[in-house]
Amino acid sequence: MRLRGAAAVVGIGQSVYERRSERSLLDLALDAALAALADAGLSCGDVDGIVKYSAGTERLPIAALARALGIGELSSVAEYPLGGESSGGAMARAAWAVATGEARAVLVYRAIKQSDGRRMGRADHVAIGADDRGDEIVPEAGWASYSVTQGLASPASMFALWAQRYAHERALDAGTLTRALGTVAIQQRDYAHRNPAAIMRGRPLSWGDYHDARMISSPLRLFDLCLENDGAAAVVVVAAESVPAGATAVPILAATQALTPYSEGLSIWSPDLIRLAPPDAVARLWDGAGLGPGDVDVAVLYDASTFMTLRSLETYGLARSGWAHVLEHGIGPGSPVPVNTHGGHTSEGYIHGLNGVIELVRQLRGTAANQVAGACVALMGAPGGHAVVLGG
Amino acid sequence: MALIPEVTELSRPFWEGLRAGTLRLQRCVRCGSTWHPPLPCCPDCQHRAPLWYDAAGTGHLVSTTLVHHPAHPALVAQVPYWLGIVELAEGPRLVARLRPEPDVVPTPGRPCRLRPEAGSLLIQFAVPAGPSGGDR
Repeated sequence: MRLRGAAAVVGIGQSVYERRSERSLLDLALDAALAALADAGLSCGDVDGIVKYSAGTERLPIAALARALGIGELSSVAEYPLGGESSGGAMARAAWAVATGEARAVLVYRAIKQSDGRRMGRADHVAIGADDRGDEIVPEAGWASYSVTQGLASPASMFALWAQRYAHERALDAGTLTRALGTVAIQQRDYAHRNPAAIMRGRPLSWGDYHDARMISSPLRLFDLCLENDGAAAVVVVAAESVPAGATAVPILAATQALTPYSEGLSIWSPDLIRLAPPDAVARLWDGAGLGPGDVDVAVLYDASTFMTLRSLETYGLARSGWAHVLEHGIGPGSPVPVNTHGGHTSEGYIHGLNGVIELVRQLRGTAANQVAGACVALMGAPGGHAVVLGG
Repeated sequence: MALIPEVTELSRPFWEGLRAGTLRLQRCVRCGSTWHPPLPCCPDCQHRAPLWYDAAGTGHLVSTTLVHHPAHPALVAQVPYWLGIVELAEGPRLVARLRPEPDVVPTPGRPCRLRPEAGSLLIQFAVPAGPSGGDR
């Protein structure tokens, strides 16, 4: 059984994305949810399914959002704790719920508030306690005790280890890798400059700015890494035959999820360090959609770092060599496949992939700030094999 | 202040070994498989009583990074530091702190060897001068 458009996105909504919001996580989630429902032409009472995903740190229960929205009972709920890896899985769960009749209208949301001290780029909140000398105890769960204690204390260092291995396997010198990563950072910033919702709007990034920014974990510099911010995004998914009158539906052609022993933070232990997604998951995606990478008009490739954009071009089959593709064509307007046209996580904001789904809905509706002319098929590719293909 | 591991029944042999200057791994007495980090069973045949043994402490670098930004207060006084993924001669991989010899850039492929430090819970590997190795 394949989705092939049995479900569609009919509403998108987002809060303001900003570095530090004075508002609560619930307020942010409500901004996104109410905007998405208004966009869909639905009322709160029409929602009978909610899918939430998080990094496992945000404390906003689905029930709290349901209470605020006045929803009496949900027939379909799911919660994914894997962070951005879950963006595709959350969409898949929502699509199958409406396709099978488990729910009529499913709200998918991601609300994030890193300014409350739980910054993902830091390990301040990792410890489960301290000993009598004040040394912080790193939990064995997720094998953190074997990595964080050794100084692998931020995702940036993990991405750096991926990037350095990639350079080694491809025999890339440091300068070539830096030019490829910098091209991604700068072209995503250029997109953000024209996106009214982007946090980094109005802050163009020159080659000098990129190259001279401080090194975080070699070979990655400051602007190779995603933003840490506050905000929320939401989408509403319904069955294809239940599109509300007046709503602009974008069919979901395929949505995949996957989990391996090396998912999310455990990827550092993978025998193939730079395998961002299981190959079977990518094959399932294209088989499910009945399409191939050559059909993609516009893509959002999950970028917690610029390296992931580059590597995902290969993972999802958009380019044989990510670095060579980026150096030859770039990812900007007029490139074979414009990528991260909202500015990506490095420059629009980090809403863990769902802001990317929203961007692709805008692209297929023809309402994006950096509109790709005639876009018909769109790919959102996240690490771990979580991905969505949208199209008409 | 330091970042120290939670020591459980499962991991105690590893950390006690390291504190004594030895790198210990688990091996399956039934199928011979070996792995890291520790598990309560063999990931290949699910035999429930893995055996701890002393690794040789030699290997090569899979990947490396020079960490400039301290992501925790305990690391502020340590940056910049070299961090690496080491593939041991026995096969399993470790996240380790690298101690390159003077003028050595610890690039992937380079051989490395355990540099035990009694009392320390840092997994430290020396990266000696010499040919940079292959592994591509």
